[in-house]
Amino acid sequence: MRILICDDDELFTKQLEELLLTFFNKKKIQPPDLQIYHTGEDLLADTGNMDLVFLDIEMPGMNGILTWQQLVRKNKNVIIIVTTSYAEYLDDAMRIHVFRYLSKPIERNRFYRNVQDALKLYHSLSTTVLLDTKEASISLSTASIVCVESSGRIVTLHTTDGSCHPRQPFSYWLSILTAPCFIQTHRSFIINMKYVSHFDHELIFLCGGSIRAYLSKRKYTEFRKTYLRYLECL
Amino acid sequence: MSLGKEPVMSTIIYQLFLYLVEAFILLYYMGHIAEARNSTLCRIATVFTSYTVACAVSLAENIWINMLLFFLANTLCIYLLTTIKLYSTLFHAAVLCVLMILSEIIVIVLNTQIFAHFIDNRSYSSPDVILLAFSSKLIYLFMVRTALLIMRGHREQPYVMPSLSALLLNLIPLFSIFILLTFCTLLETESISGTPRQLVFTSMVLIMLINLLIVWLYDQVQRKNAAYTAMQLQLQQEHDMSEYYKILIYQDEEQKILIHDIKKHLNSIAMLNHGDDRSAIDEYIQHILKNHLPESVRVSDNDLLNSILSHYIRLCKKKNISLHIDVRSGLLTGLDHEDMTALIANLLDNAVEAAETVPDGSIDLNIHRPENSASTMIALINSCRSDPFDPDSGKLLSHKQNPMRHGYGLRSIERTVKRYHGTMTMYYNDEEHEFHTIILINDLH
Repeated sequence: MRILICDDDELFTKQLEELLLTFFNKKKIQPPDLQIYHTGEDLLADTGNMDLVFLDIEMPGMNGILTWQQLVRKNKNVIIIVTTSYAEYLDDAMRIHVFRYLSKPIERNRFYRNVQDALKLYHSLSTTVLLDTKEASISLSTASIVCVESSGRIVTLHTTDGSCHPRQPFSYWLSILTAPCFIQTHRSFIINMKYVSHFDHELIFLCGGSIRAYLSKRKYTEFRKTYLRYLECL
Repeated sequence: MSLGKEPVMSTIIYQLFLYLVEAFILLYYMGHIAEARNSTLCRIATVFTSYTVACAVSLAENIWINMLLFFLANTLCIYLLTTIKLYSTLFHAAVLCVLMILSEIIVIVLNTQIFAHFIDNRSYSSPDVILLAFSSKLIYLFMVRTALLIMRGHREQPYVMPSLSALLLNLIPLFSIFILLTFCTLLETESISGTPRQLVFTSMVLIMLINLLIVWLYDQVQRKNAAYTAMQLQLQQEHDMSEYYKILIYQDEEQKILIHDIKKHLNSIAMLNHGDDRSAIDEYIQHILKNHLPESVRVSDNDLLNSILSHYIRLCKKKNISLHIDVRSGLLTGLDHEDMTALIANLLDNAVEAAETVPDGSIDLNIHRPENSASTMIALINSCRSDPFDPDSGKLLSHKQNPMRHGYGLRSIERTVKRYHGTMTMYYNDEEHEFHTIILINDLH
């Protein structure tokens, strides 16, 4: 995993680095590749992977909002946590879609909770599976799977790029598509909660309602709780 | 009215039919006076079960016991199946009893010839008696509709305690039931005829009019109370907004003073630094941070939300609770002040109450719209010393000193969430000693 810190305050970047290393030590996870920059331009010049970025809003030269715009254009799945010491509500900043906002000075427990949630999201975005169809076998990111539907022996995999019929049986997908993003809502449906638009007692509407999945009565309560907990971590 | 000896089966069928019709009328009435608490199937099952029991007891043919069972069945059904309080429930149950007795008496009065015939030769299979039964139920339905028209479609507010004047109005239909049953007993047991009988029936008609007047008065009292409550809420909203704008002005002035004095503060820090007095420098900086940099109360682009949150920002600062608020742009614009207060204020009241007992307690409030969804998510995480869920029932335990206030905040939150077709869940993280509340509300922008 690669984490980048972009802030013009050197003391703050050191503090953030220490907090991150302490977190990974505490959780006994391999420390990430950490890179520190002090301007938006330097951050954008980085050519490596960007998995998690801590981005300051108020920076000289290219500010955090402009940096964010360029960043998401280059890296679709980058997770951005914005840090700010500005006391007032920043209307422009709050309009951009970022993972979290953290106010300076950073409160340790809050920081750890947010990094934990970021890691969960990172794992869900970076997991891949082997998709085996009649035409080809390809590696597919689980983040692009909307839902898996079983109708008799025919399995349909709905993704963000279309649908296909994998050779693997439904039970295979049930074993590899698991929490925190995936949940079985019916004996013939596994859905990715990332794409849920809304739901009722019988149906789950995905991708704005273009795909519908059944929700069985006995799974309704479990789905509702799991979905809300999933949203909390986003 | 009790009839003479008759085959049991026809008696049972006759009584069952009458009670069935009355059950439908009760369902119709309940649907108009208040919000339902349960599903349609549950309501139908409860009403029909209660009335079946009342019907079974009515076979004993004692009008006092019949009326008592009828009153209890109505009270039970209205209380369990709607959202109105017990005292209002008693009022509605009593009114239904009065109207039901009157409907039967009116029919008997209008068929005086049948009535005389009635005492001597009673038969459930007689067309006269069946006509009597149909007519009385039609009149009962008509009178119930009249009462609903008087109330002009006004529904009782859920879970609101009625005022003292509304409670006292309960007495009149209760007294009326007693008087009417007394008249019925007299008419059945004594041979009253001529002018005294006419006076008795005229009195019954007047009692009916009094009770319809009471229904109108009750409705007026409820409307006045609702208008008063709305006015109080409006005043509260104006007060909150006024306080919020005062704080904004104060903050603005404090910041201007800080900018003006920044050179002075920096010189003071420089002097302390020359003296190498680190603890004094630290103390001075902490003093500036605490006293000259007031907390911002503009934490979102929704001024209504800011006015409510400003109170909690100051409260948390006073109680040394770390409060973090992350509200994304353009959310909760569809909520009015009453709903916003019911939701946000109650959530934060409970959070503050839990967090203040924990050293270094914290509260995190996040409001944002999940990707791919048109809903708004409100997530609140607060420090909580111990698991507040009862291990046996799974329900939340309240630690409020006043037991009458148990659960009101949470019920208010649940009602508001339901009103906006939302859903919510709560859980406790034992490892981190944190209580989580997650609410999803549909389409509020």
